[in-house]
Amino acid sequence: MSGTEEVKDVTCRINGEEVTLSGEAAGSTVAALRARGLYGVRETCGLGVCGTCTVLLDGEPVSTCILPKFALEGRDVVTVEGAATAGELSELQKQFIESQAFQCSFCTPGFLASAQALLDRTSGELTRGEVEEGLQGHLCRCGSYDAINDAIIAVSRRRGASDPDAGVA
Amino acid sequence: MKTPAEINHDGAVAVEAGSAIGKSVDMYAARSRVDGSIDFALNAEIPGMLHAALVRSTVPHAEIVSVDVSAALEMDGVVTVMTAADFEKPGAPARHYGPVINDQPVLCGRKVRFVGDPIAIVGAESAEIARAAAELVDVEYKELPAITSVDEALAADADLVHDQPPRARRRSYSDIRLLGREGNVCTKFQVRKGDVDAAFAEADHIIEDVYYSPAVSHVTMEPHVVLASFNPQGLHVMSSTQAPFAVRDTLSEMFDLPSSKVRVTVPPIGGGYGGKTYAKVEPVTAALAWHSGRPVKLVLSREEEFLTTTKHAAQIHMRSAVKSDGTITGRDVTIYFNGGAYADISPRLIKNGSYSCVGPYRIPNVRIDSYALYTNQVPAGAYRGYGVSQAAWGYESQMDQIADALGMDPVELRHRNLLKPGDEFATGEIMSEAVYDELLDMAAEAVDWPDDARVDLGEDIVRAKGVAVILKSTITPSTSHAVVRLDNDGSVHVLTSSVEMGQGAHTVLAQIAAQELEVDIEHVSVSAPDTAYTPYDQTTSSSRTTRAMGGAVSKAAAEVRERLLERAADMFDVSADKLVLNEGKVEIRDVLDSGISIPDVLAESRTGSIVGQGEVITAGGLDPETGQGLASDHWHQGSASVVLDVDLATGKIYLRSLYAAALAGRVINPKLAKLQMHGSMIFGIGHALYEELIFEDGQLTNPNMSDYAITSMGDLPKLEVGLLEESGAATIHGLGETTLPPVIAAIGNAVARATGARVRRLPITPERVIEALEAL
Repeated sequence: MSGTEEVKDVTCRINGEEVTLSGEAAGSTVAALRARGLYGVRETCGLGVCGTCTVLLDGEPVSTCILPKFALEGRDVVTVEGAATAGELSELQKQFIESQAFQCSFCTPGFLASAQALLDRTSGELTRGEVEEGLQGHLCRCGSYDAINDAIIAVSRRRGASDPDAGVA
Repeated sequence: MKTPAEINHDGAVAVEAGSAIGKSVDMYAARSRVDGSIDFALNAEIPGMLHAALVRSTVPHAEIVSVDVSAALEMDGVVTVMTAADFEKPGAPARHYGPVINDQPVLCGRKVRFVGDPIAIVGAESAEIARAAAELVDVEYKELPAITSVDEALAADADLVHDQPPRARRRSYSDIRLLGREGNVCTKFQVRKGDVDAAFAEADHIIEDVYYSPAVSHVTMEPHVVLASFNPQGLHVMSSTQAPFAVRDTLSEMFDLPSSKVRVTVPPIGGGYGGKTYAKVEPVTAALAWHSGRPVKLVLSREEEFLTTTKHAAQIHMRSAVKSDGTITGRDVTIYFNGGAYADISPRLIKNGSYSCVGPYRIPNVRIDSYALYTNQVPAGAYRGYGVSQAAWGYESQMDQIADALGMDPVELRHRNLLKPGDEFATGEIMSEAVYDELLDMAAEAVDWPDDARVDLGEDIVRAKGVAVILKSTITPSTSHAVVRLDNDGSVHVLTSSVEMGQGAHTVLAQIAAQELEVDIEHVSVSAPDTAYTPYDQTTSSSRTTRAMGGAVSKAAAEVRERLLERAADMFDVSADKLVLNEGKVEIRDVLDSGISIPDVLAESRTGSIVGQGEVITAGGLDPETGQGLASDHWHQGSASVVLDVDLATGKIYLRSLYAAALAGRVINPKLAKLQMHGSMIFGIGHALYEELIFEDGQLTNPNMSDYAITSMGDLPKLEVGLLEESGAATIHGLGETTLPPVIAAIGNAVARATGARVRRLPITPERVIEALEAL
């Protein structure tokens, strides 16, 4: 707004759709995503410490509150709105409901993103410790942690027996 | 006329497990919570709306010399900047508000009273522009000495936060009465029972100590969000509030509008924990909407969240008179609650915090002086635990100290003094329902007390256990109304002003309605609060919703059921008492295949919809000088126990397992009940070990989530919960807060057992453990 920031279009893929984000390239990613109606992306701490605003960037969880928009150039963004397939919730989303892994659910999209990334980079049934490590940097003030852990383990259990060669990256 | 006890008995509805109650159904609208589509206030927009940002005081106490808004106004995209001067205009709203005392300025005029006190509000075309412009507003202060502690507030020559006691609200809540308002005392409350001096004169042991509990933040993940607009119907405010009707009434008084001309709507909110109870930033947002003639949206930044409301810091001076057999005969307490710059709901909180210092114990002689003090800090308000966390930190620490002094087992000492059914409490009321002994046993058994209460594990590590048991009142008197509407497609609509903030209120209300009408839960919808259409509810707070609103919904649904059966009776040509509801059908009792679907009954009887209403209105109240009367229409009862390790070399505490139990009466939804318990326990861990708002010379030094730590997943020990239910039809006891206070005290007791050095100041940081060890 002070007019000194560089205005540059950023082209990326958001939930499978090729899009161009215009305006200040250094602007906040969380604001840019919300401006597109992706209200599942929410800001809490503004410092990158609470995990609420997490989305998947090329499959890796990132805090969008401290991510400048230009970092999205040419990359693939998946928000919670992109987690379901043709209206069918992901296994993880369904299990979050079954395990009641949320209360107010303001933080839930961030947890889902990092949990999905954890599941995608591991195989076999996860331990509670592995889930804790994978979700470091996510805070839930309502205190649904135990149920979140249960939900992720339940999904990991269903995908089959542990592969000894795979571990938490 | 009915006595309070009779009214309260009528208010409580006993429910049984059945087709919906007692089942772990999914949370209402669960899908929207995992696919991102839940519509928080943050998403709301109105065409033409302005975005607002506040200019806040940078000093704790000062006279305002001048406010220069010219640079801000010159910025592109800035539409207006409102200051106190704008409240002088004809038709302007009142400039002060508060739930009990009108002491909080919407925008400061003559003085600022804490770092963060709002001075001006900028309205701009974007939030970024508004925030940038707010930085350009230049305020000149003449600084005054700041009152930043209880001791400073009470000093004989103390500077005054308010020059004279501010004006009380014309009509507040009937349970709140003000007392002793002078100097920096906002208000006080007293409990007087028996002969305390005689009890101490005749005591075998006197145990005395001072305990400290700091200000902490609510840290809701969703900030406070308000969207205000004026239209021909009046003022409409959408807010992330826990108290839509309290906000309505505050705005109606402020704008001198009939309450019917103020409409408050509340979407699901992203956590409350007390921090969104009573008007917070609704007045300033609505003021700018009035001033600018445009809709206004205000979203607080995370730093501002820390500067809006806190839990009360408290200093608890407590002594107990004890006989050598462990009987406690007297308790004498002075408790100071640091209320910060404005009263907010302190007058009620210090009342609840006063008698709570007695704990769930039968103590015949009691003297308690409970004070709310004005200081130049962030105003303190409602907080999950509501004064009981602070009180229990004191009395449950002291119970272990008494046990140590007598050489008694702390569980045995508690049993000797716990309230039994029929005992008289310090307020004079009879505790008809008291299961503290059972709850304490549950907590003790969960950690195999007293086995291995302290074990030296070697290498400086000591493992120890701790227990605590508490009681907590609920707002009394209080009022809840509900309407239930059955439509001709068989769907049921619950019209309620209870706020869904993650606690599952809308889910359990749907379950209660579903069971009363024997319809599938899928056919029940629950309204979001809208003061223009949904019936009155006092607040969503005080762990009252499942019982109070649940009771109102249950009665409303029963009325619908009665009318439905009356209409069906004509069709069946039997009397209505022969009819029952089952799986969405009306049937003749014990006659197979006699059922007619609800839609058919309504169609046949040319009925469009059936409406029923229900209410729960409780009675009670205490004398402010003696604390005698009826404090609570029922009591929340809870316990906790913990196993933890302390590293004596570093002072670090490692939680191993944590257990908490509560009286539930009847659990409506086991899955959600467990989460409410977990939530309280996890708050308790944070308050015991990590959380503290640190003020230096009136400046908050850690207003961010990096420097202010809340409990994370990796901090958790194994969590176990116990829910004490009754058989058959049973009343509902809320579970939102009950197990927060005992967790803090149980952790404190275990640390003291491990180290032999009691930490009296929360949170119990490694530094404080080492400090206590060094003082031995």
